[in-house]
Amino acid sequence: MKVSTHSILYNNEIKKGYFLMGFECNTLKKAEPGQFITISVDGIEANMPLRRPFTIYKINNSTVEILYKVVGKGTKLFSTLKPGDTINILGPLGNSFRMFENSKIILLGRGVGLASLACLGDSLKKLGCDITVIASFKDESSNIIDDYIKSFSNDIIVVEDEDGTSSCDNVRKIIEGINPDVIYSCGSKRLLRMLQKMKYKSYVTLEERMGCGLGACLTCAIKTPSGYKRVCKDGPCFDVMEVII
Amino acid sequence: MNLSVNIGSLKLRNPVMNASGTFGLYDYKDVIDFSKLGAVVSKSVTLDPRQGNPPPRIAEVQSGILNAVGIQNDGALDFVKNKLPKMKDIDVNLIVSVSNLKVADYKKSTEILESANGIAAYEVNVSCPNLETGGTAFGMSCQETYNVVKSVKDVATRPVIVKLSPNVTDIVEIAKYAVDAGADALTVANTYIGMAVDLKTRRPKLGNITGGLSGPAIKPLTMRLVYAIKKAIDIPIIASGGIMTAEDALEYLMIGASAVQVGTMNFTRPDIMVDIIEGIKEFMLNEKMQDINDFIGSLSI
Repeated sequence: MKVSTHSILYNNEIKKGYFLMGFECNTLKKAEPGQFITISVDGIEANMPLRRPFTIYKINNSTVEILYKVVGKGTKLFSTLKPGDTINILGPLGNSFRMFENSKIILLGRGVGLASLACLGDSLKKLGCDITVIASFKDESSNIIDDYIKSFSNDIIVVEDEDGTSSCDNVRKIIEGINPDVIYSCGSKRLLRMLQKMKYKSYVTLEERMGCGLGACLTCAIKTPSGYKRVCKDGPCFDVMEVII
Repeated sequence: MNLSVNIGSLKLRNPVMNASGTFGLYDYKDVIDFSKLGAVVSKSVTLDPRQGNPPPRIAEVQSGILNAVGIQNDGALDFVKNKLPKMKDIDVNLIVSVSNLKVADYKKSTEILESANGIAAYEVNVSCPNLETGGTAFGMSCQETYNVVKSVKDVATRPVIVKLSPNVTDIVEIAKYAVDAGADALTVANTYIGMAVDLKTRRPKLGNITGGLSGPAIKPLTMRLVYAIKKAIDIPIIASGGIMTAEDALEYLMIGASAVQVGTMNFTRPDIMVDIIEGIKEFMLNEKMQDINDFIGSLSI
């Protein structure tokens, strides 16, 4: 793990407000599913001292991709970056997901949180898993399912707020219908609480406002039955029963 | 070229160290070479373990950050037993930050730290709320600052640096009390109490509601404090407030600080302190300066 500067290869708006950024980074080649990186941009440190954490979306040889939604000042700035511009990368950081072979898997993603499960889905597929993606979106405008997600999914079920299919009740029924071995989730505290009440082995990747990303500053605290843990170092991947939300 | 400076009896190979709580003694090992730093300062250690504040504990604001971690730590005994041994092979002065909620606990935790090897000095954090006097920070009162520093000095065999709170009416008065109680040096200063809210969620951005402001936003504020204390009292000062670059560090040295602490920027660029040290060397080279001590306090008024 180290700090290094890299040139952006592409930074395309794949859907209104959603961007896919790619850059070359050899040090991230061996990053494991669930690990994350933090990014800062040269020259903006005075205004934006905090690095922004991102889960790796896809690793293709030495090309690494992140998929992000423009929500605040940082991602807005990132969205203006052009190929050839440089970004400062720290990573890979944090723990990784526990992996299973030849298992029936559900990836349960809410909004852009689904992007944090893509790299995992790809790896699980290679381990012989059967993968169902349950993708929860506000409406079609936030549906980020692309060819990559399709490439490792045996089935994709989209649920949306607009028609009410994204309700916990409905999602629970879908999960029970599939009866998976393991569920991985990201992007919704509501769905996380639901998983905590279900009988399935479930993991979640969490995010929290973060300072150093290295485990030192203790700002990204998450409550657990054994006191506060650090999202950046003890996580970001947790067993859902391990966290108090 | 000489970069080494003295903070009382403590000799540093160069004037750059981290601010307490912004840098991990073990977590940063992979990203920065400790042997290049003047010193490293631990996160604050209290007598009893502390759970810390509810999240969110950090928020970015214009040109700075607010934090309210709440001195989360596993206590002085655990520090001596489990944390300190991991530092023993690292070639750098270790300054241990001591914090507490009661005067007597400062003494007790210093006693525990005295029993251990591998500590170069103590930094007394007086910005914690004093539970015995209703929760205002020790560092906001001359007498409470005196009491805390005295209780540490009574048992400490190592240099005692006192990190002052800037959230006071007259920091020079408080500095005088700290020095009267035996402080060997002062760190000027801690973060400024602030607050930020979120229009969308209509909630405070910090779980603790208020927090300490740090980062480039505070540099002019802290510079004024360093200057005021330096003018009034003859004591080594470690300046801490908003340092991003070698130039920022040099400015503090020029107004009389003997060393500097880098805080927020360790989050932004975890290897920044090495860049700052290199930048200081470059400045000295360009200015044909042999000894950094000739530059310290060279401000003309």
